[in-house]
Amino acid sequence: MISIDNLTFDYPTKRALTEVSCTIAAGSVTALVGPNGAGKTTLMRCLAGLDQPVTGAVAVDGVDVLAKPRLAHRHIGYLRDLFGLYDELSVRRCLAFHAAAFGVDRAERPARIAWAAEALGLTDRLGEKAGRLSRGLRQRLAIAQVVIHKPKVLLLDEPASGLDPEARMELSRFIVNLNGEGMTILVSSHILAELEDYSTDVLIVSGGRIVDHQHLHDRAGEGLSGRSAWLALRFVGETTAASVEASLRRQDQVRDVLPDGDMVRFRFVGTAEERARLLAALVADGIAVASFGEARDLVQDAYLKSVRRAAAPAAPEASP
Amino acid sequence: MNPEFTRNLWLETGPFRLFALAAAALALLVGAYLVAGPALIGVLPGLNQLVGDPAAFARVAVAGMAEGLLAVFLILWGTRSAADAVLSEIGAGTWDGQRLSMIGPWAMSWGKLLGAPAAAWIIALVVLIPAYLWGAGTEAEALRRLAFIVLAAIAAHAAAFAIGLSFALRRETRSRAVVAFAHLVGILVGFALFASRDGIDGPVALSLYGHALPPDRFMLALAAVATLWLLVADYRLMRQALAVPTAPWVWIVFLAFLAALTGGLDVTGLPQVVGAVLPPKGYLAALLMLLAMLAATYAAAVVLPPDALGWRRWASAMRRRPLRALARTPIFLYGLLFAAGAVVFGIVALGQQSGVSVWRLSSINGEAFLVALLCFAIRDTLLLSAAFAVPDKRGRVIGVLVFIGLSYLVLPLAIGRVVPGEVLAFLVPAVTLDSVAMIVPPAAEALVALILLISVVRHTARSVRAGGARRS
Repeated sequence: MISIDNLTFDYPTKRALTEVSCTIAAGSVTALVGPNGAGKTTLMRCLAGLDQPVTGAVAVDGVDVLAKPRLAHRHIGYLRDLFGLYDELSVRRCLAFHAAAFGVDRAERPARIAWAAEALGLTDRLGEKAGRLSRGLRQRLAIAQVVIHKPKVLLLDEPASGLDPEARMELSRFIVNLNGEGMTILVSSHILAELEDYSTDVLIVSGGRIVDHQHLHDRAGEGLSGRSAWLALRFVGETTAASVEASLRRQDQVRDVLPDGDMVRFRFVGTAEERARLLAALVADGIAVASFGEARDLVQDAYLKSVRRAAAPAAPEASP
Repeated sequence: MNPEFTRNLWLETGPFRLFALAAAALALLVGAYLVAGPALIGVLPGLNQLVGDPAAFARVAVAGMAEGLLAVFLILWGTRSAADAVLSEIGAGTWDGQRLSMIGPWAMSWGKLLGAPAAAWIIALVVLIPAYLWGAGTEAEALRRLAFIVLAAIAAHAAAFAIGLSFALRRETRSRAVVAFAHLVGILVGFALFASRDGIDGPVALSLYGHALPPDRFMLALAAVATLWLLVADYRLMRQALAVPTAPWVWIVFLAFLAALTGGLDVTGLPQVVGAVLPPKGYLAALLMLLAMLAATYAAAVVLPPDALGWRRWASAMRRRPLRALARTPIFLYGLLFAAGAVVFGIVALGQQSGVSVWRLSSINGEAFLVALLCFAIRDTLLLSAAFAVPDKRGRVIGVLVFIGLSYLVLPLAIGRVVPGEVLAFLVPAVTLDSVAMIVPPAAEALVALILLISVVRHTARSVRAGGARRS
């Protein structure tokens, strides 16, 4: 869905992105993570066609963003970190303007406004001026504005900043819902635990380069559903990683087994009862289980490993 | 309906606001009628004999007041709104959202140009223009003056809008000084056209390539064409602001138009300085063309200067694909190219003079004067480019502008009488020197400015490479 080829972007005295290349699959929710100043926002702005790179190409759904930015914008929704709203306009008019500006048919606009307002919990605020909304509601309105044309690609730069925990959870569910409607989503955030909930992939940027691009889940929101989750098992004593892996692979509901020292991570698809039966089976196989539970640190773990590897002076750079 | 225009109407044309503005305008018009008409006649009975028909006098007063209010509403106030149309979006953090929309550059341009000052236009259309027509009538002269006012307003808005857009292109943040500057430029453009509504006095005759032109109609046509070009400039700048690939071909067409207009224009009947020796007509046309090209070049160097990255991209493109690089060439360079053409035109015109003319006998070195003017322009625009190429540019650009002002105006006046002409030639074209003495100083300065620009661009390139090395 998004194809980035050899993208290099310079500010007048600083190189922000260096030969970035990657492909983001249609239907994925990709967490874009990296340290401050790594180039996340610049990458998003290049993808949106807001900034022109020195070299390279970006295509969204086959449309060259740099050559035909206005056409590409039909497929893109972008929420920047420091967004602005038309404070003097009502919520309804803010949404109506964006619907018209993004080419939604006149006849379809009322329904689209109702859909966006409903999805973001703004239905009872349509008559209020945007300037009178709270921080959380402003964030919701900003998101409603960028999804009102139902873009194929949604770029969200720090969408949860300033939101309270409840609003963040709602945002996570909304992202999963949008992804369920077919949107490919790229989310940049510093709150890694939150990204775990809905990301299918993680793209790690450091020093203007992509240092890692991993697949985490097959479906967005698996972490939220409770049906499918990444689990972590820590073992002790005579038990080896190989024996744990062998025991896990005998179970039908286990996928993607990843040994890591005295711990093994794996993806489990099943109910809570089935999860309990798995633990019993492992113990019956002679596995000395020290701890067993949900692995909530996939993105964080990948991030820390990749960034440390990139920062190590002698370490070769990971290929994208 | 254009969504950007609609949004501006929502924001700018609240019923209370429109009602208050219309009421204020009507009160002033009625006041003018009452003061200039029956009320004044009643207070001063003798006035009746002086003014003849008091009702007609009152109507003229209303027309005059309407004309003044049109200037205030459209040129003063409307221009402020146009200047701030894009800059306010940057300040509010909504500009990126607009750039991301599917609104095209033309729709975005006219949506903002007409939408931001919508309240001023509505009051003008509903109250002021009808009042003006009621007072002044619909004779050709009244309509011609009204056309000038409307053109002046559109030109003022377009000029202010263009300046605001140029700041947006340079990623400048919105500040009162920036908005005030754009507003001021718009007002100057607007009032220049507004003032020309009275026409040309005296026995002036105009001709274009030998065809006589009625001065008043020519001025109106010129105002219309100037306004049209300003609107084209807005559209082209908006294309760049919306990241739509934009080649400089329209700019080249504009320069060609300007060259054709100034090269063929002949004005006779202007008051002359006693004892002045006028150069031949062909040379005068070339000089006018050169000045027009230089004015356009300076404007381009200030409004659309490339930053260091732009210069690096251009240099890189020139090395790889020189023909394609033409599309990336900084537009002021094309202005300099046309200016060089005007210089050649002037030198040829002087060379074609047969016999010994009075001008030739005077001590003015016409050919070198043109070349020196061009060299000074090259120096100035390269210095400006070097200032714009550094990251913390604002102070340096102002510094260069102050230097240019000092070198042309203050220093020659201050030291002109005490230094020899060869020294003065470093500041202004010293018209009586020989060619070498007149051309070498500004050419050397232009060379220094070029070296400065190259070093600035190379320095920033080294900074980028050093930054990349630190990270990896």
